[in-house]
Amino acid sequence: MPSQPFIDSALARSRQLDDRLPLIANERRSSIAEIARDGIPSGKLETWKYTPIQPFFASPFAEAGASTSTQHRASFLSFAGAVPIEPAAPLPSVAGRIGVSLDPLHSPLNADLDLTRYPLALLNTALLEEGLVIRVAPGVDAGALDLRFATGSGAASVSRVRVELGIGSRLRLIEQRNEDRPTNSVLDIRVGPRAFLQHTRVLPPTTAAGWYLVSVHVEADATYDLIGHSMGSATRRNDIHVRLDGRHASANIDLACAAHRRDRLDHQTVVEHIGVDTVSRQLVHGIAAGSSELTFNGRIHIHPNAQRSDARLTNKNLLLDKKARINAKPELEIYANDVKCSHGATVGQIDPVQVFYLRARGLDEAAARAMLTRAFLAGRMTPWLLEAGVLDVYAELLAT
Amino acid sequence: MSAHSPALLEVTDLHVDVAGKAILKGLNLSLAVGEVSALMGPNGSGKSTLANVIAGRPDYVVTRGSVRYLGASLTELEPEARARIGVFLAFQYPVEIPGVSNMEFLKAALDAQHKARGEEALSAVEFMKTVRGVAATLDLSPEFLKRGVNEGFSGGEKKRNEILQLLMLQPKLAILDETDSGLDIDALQTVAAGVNRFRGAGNGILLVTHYQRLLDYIKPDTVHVLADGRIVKSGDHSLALKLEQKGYGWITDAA
Repeated sequence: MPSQPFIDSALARSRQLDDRLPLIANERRSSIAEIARDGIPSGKLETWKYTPIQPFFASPFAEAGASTSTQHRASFLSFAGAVPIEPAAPLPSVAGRIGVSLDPLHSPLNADLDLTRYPLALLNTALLEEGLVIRVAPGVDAGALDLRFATGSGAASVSRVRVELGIGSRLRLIEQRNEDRPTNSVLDIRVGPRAFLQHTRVLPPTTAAGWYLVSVHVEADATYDLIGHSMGSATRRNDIHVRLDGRHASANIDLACAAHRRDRLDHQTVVEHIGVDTVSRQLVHGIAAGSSELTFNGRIHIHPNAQRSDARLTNKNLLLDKKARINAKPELEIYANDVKCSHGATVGQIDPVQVFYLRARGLDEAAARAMLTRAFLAGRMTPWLLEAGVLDVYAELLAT
Repeated sequence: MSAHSPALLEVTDLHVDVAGKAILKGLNLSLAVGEVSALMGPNGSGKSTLANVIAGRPDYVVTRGSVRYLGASLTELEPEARARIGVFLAFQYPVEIPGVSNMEFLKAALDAQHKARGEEALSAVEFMKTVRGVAATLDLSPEFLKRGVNEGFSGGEKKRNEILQLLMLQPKLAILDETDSGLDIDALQTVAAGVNRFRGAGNGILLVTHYQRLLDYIKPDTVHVLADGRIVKSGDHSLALKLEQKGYGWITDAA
């Protein structure tokens, strides 16, 4: 059971937040009732084996903060090249983007989420501070959308964004997070038939604890591409759940992450093949330095009717220090008989012959190791990520 | 050159262990400034070990003897410190480094050496201009500079890339470890032309090779034969020609 004081303060906080997102008031209350009834999941949960869940059910998530002031709103939304706009009610129309709408969140929030697996989504519902729905109309190519989360005034950042792509539409979603506060974030995505979503996300280092869920439904002939970068923090947990619902639905997940000092960085992916002829690719690169602990659990689940599914998962890790730790666990669960599946994980160290080659050209050992560490992630960079300096952020992180 | 000025390289009674096994067993060798010396010998005689130990390969252990460079001991120096004072090893098996472009690697190496010597770094523009010019003389296209270091290079490209580094870094002592192996005749000529461009009165070259073929293109001043961890015979270019006719047996058996 969560402590009564936590439930009480969560209830008080949820009432305080009603003004901000009025359409979900009832759902907030029922979520808190569920948390009070079911209790905090025990430490024995397999999915939370390496990262403790308890800190996410505690203050400061339920602490009172700024209530209705829009001055310190944490999230900003902008189309590339445009001035940032705030998703304050009433939501502004998106100038120049016909076929894109921004709407307030409304109940029911959790119809597409697996609440048994993600109990923190209930807490997200109860304590939501920021939220909106982004819709792209059928057939529209919406270009790039910049979704930024910056430092706000509250004790914690609790946000939810729902993204819906209509039939045959396209969107590039660029998600950048700089909350630097305890965070509970849900991104709930539906990629309609024949639609294409390219999602780039950057989670730079912070000192706060954060839980981030990306839940995606991919319908027939649609594609979801994710390029995700995540750096260490005290405790950072990324859950990524993709359901390939329709025939020929596909997903490409390309993740990279690095942890240092005493960071705990935990990625858990689930890719469900539900429709026939569905395709998924997962490529995950991880670097653990210092005394950090890096966890990757990647699960591929092929449902009974998902014949001719094609799923691949590759996890490559670089261990930089003796005290660092890497937990790599690929999982396959297959209930169809005509499928192609492969998975593999490797953990390696920097090659001493490469280090000698660089030193023999005049680079000192630290510079040589830094160059080789950078090289491990260089192939994961897109022009946008290079421009944004993401490779340098990794280098800086691993140099300290 | 004055008789009192120190040799570019002076190896005295050198004993080296690799993985607990004695490879060099009392090797003596001297190379003067301005001299090109060929080091020949059968497989397993210790040629590559000598080349690597001069460059400072960490797992090669000097158990006795000395390696002096312009009069100063090298053996205590880190590999990068040796590189910065002008020691260069062209690797027998150049290492592939995916994710680091050849250009980035060359610039970093050059910058590190300039900085250590208190010299001004080349600007990006000067560097690009220089490296493109040098690459062209080795039949290497600008595209080649953008690729990962040695990544997917052919054997010939890897060796030409070593010579590119030699010409860019301009060391005083160049040790070329079987730079001719795996090269066809055209590539061999290109590589030899590069080495001959580098060759000068202010530097010295140690050519480690199995075959006399390379020496048709790079004429050595001296030839040394290494067998079982020691120099067993020294001479001029005619020694290499004799080895080609008669093999190593007549020397190593006598030794």
